[in-house]
Amino acid sequence: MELIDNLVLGFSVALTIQNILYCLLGTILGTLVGVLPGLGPLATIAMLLPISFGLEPTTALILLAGIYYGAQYGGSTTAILVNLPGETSAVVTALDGYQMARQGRAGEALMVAALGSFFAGTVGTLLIAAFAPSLSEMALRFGPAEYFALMVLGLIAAVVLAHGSVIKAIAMIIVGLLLGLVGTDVTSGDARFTFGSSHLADGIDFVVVAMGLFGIAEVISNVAGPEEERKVLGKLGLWKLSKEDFRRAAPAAVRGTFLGSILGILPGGGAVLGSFSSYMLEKKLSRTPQAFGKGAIEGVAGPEAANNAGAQTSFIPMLTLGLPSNGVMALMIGALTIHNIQPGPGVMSSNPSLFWGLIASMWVGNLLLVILNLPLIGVWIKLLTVRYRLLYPAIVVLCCIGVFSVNNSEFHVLLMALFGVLGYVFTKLECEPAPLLLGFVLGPMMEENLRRAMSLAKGDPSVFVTRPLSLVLLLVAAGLLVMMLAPAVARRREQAFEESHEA
Amino acid sequence: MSTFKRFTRSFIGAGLLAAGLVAPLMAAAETYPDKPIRMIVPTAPAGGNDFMARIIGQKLQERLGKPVVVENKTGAGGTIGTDFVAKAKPDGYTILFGYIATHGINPAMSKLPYDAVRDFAPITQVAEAQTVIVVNPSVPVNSLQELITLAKAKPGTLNYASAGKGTLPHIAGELFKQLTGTDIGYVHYKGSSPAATDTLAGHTQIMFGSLVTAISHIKAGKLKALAVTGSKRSPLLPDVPTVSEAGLQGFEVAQWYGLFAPANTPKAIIDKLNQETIEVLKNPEVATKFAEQGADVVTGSPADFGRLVEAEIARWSEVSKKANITADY
Repeated sequence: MELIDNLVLGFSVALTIQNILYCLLGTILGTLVGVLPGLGPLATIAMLLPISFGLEPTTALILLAGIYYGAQYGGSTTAILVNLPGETSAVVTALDGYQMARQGRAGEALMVAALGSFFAGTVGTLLIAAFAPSLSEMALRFGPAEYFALMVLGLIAAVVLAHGSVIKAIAMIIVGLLLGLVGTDVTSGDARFTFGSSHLADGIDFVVVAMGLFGIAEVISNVAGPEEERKVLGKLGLWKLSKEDFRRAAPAAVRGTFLGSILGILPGGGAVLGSFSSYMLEKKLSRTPQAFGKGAIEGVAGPEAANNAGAQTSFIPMLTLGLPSNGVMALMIGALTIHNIQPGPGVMSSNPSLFWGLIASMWVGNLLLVILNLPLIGVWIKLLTVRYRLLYPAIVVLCCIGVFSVNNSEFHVLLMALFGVLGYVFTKLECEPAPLLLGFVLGPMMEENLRRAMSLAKGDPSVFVTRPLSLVLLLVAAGLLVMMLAPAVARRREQAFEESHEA
Repeated sequence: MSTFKRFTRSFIGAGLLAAGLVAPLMAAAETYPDKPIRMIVPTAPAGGNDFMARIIGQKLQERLGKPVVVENKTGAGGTIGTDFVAKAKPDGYTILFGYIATHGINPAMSKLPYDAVRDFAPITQVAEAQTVIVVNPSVPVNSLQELITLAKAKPGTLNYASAGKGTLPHIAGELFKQLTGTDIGYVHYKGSSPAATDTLAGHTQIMFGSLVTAISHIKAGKLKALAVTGSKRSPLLPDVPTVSEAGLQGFEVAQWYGLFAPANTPKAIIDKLNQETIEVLKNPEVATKFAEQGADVVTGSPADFGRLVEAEIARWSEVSKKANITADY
């Protein structure tokens, strides 16, 4: 039983006092930066990297990894409590999590997020331990054509995120796609919609848009209304998960774990799709899809599990191929090279104690997070009883610090303010920002991969249907589109029929 | 030795000049540094550049007795951080960790908010790193000549992965095509990691990548190394020939790095920074750490570095003009 031997080796490394302490430190720090809006793991890890130079490579990596998944936990806390998603994945959590909080069910939402994440983390760890090498080989089959098809599927699914008008959702996705165009075009190198400013040359940062549209806009809306309205938030409900909650949340978390694990493996950034696709799946499977967006517990459990599972499995391409699937993984690779370990296929055989130690520490870290977070739920809820006029200046300041930390640039802080105003306008127009954000994230990836696939195929578009994986994904997308349109078509036909009767 | 002479000479020169004309600046130079120095890195944290800058910064701080704070100001292919230093006060308290992109390739092909030559006072080159030509193992060639023969026999079927328009892996690929007269397609990626991913997977066949990115894959047999682009073989890959050994002349390409101050920084300060940085780089511990990043220590006088910058801009201007590459930042 090689797997067991490997895990024993891993736990013997992860369970040394020093490594447990650094793991704990990492998860505490991660939770903290995750809770502070905008201040993400990327900035924190970048700041702490020099400190990690002095540590053993394994310990350094355990610390940094702890910050990463700790922040995933913490990020959902602010998304649920104050509608402030710090990362792409938390956008989905905010949809139903914040609604639950508004109904006085913040405790349940936080608890289901913590338990769902722990379950997903455990499964993710086992998946990495058992299948990392073979999974990474599979991930390499995902070429530009497959990524394009995957993004098409994601965008069509984005419509499901909206619980109001479909037309408005589509419009918001398109606004998101347009915003995603800003910046240097990867293929031609031309600057698009930058107005000659080099600050826009790399496009608009996700954190800027998310903090503006969600955080700042929410503050404006709340301040615009009378203060009494907020009292409902402060209700200290009993936050025990009922049997009914559990029955609805558990299968959602299992499905979310599955989806998130698979998408997290893709080195080209499939992980961002995890929580979105889980949300979509739950809404489609639910017998009460109309409850989504109004505080459905499945809408928190599924995406949170997917997000955390993806966070774990995104270590697979990093550890086995030396390929980062996101900015945090790129920093980890940097941390490894600093210790003269070349991340790549060799790590597992040349540094088995590092490889398995890190994997075992992920599970330890997830356990620590649950132990840490469950008692904290009470504290977080108390935070909601703080008067809003005291809370919102803090939210605004933290948003500014968070956005500034992304690029050390004050330009982005101003841009966030602009998106805040825009977000308020959207709220007044009853347009939801979540589909916009998904369009914003997926659009550029879709365009890039489309053009890359086309230049690899010398301009032959049949590449998308001759590659089997791409074909399957496109067919699923087409099926989804039909499923969404069919009821509308049927209804219109019914209406036409009735009208012709009346005539 | 020559450095020392030049240093003494310029020191005397600066002294004479300062005595007559710029006494206050001279006073500043004598007490320099009396507050922390900011070293701007225009690329992302934890990258090779950042790592080298932090090693130099840390050792420089020990020698100068004042903190040297490394700060990442990223964006627009290095332009944001570089422009920041170009417009900083020329007092020696803001310096730049520049490299081939900010002071070689970008000025050759883009309209930039700064002038790489006029807006900067070079301090010294600090290192250079080799590029390696790799192919996916499925490509049926075992030498650079075989690759050229294959590309000529089947024009337009091979593709190389570029780390983005105007990056070294791109422009080196264009230079390769111009020198060998081959027809190879290119595909742009956002950075060298995704470019390496698709070369590993065989979606693209060739990459002109940095040694650091490629080395573990070469050792694992996932990429075939055909040649290194320096004038000497790399100690990391002693069996891989240089390009000229492999029969391709004029393709020496190195990623180089160095320190710059804003133009009009007092010469005495530039010379002090030059001398102290060279001392730092003589430390064998520093050389070992650079070697782990695939880089060799290279130092010289400010004037040497200035000449390298001008020669590189001229070289890449010609390549990009022939290949018709331009980009805006």
